[in-house]
Amino acid sequence: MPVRLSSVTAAASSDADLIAAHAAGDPRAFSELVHRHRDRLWAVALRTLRDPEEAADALQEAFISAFRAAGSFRAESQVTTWLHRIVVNACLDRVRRRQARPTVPLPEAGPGEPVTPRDAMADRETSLVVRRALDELSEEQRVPIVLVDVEGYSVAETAKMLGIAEGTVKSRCARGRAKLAKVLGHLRNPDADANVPGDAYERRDVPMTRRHLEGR
Amino acid sequence: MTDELRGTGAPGEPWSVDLLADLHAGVLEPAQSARLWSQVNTDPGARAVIAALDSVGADLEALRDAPAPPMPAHFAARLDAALEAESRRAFGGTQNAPQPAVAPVVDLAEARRKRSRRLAWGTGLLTAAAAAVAVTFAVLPGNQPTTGGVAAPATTTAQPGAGSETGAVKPLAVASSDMSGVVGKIGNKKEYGPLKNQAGLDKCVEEAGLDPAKSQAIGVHPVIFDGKPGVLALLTTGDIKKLRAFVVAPDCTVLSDTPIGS
Repeated sequence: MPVRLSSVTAAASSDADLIAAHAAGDPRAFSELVHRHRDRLWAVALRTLRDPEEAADALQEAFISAFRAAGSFRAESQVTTWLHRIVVNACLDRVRRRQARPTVPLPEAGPGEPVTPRDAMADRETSLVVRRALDELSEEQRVPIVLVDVEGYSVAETAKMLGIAEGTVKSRCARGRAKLAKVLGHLRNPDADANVPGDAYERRDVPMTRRHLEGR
Repeated sequence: MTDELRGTGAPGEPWSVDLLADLHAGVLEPAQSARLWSQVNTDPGARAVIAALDSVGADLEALRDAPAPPMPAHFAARLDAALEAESRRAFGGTQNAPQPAVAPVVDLAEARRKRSRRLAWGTGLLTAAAAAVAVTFAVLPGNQPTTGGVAAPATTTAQPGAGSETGAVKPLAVASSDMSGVVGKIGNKKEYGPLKNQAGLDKCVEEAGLDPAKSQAIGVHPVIFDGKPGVLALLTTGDIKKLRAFVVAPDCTVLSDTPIGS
């Protein structure tokens, strides 16, 4: 099959051009696409799965799926949206498989656990604080929150992807946000403290989360 | 399960954060929601909690486009190897070969089973190698009987006389111009070919002046390197992010010594 290598894989090519070139037999086009989007999609996989090994596996699985399915890519959708959805689905497959293995503990989000390098500068970044706070949620809460609040999927789409009711998505997001509000310090407002039963919050949410983690 | 802790919103009664979070997320029935919102709007404490929940939403949304650490090099190398293997399968002269029923990533389950053993080592490299060798099998049918349409990949050069044992592995064709996919080709099997065994490899490693303590073999395979027979060993370097593709002739002449990883 004729291959138009140099012209199509040039840096200026659009993502859609690269998909088309790949589908037409250009052996370098997909690799260029991967290098453009790999790190951003790695972040998606890592915050969905938390475990770097699993995130790497899911991303690999997703890119292989995309490689094979590129011929069915429809030009009316964004390549990034298409890839994002494939990565999220690969991650969710792994979440489901993990949930089917009740004896496998979730990795602790303590110091030294992540493979991702951290440095003093990055530690001060808000985004890192938020990522760490997300790690403190149970998987049941973290995954819907990541899909809805971080990735921007609607409650309806998230419910469909997770195979649960929309009300369950909302409820899990609500619980997760309540915990994040506390972990991130947003509830330290004195007015809030004055009228919010903090001990009730602790009594309910923290043991529930621990029970969830320990039960895996 | 939370009813006993849900505030009712009655004046003077403390609000439950969970109740407010449910209200905020649209979990509650419309009538209850309308009643509570009217109470929340007149209660500074409740409004502060709602504001806190809004702040959480803003923090999470900001995460979407925030700079994040890149994929670690050893994972990226593994991904590249898998995609190269997939690309060879799709474009590399075996276009009539049937697709594997499953993606190579399925073989990562095997890699994961090895994770507990790998923990002491503290790196993903073994998994990378285990995954890569699985990819190799998916891509290179090797000496398995195949149906008529399945040809050996063009990059594999059969050398039936190279091994002294029955069933000796075929050397893999490796080009100095394309060392990036070598992890995927070699994997974590140890086939010493003309070097015969680990001692044979150790001898070459020492003769090359490498530190044997840091140069542990992850995978070894006979190769035809730029047309010359030899053995390629993937060696550790002491840096967990890097491997070394060490290629020697049967007489230990170094044909290539290439770092892999970042």
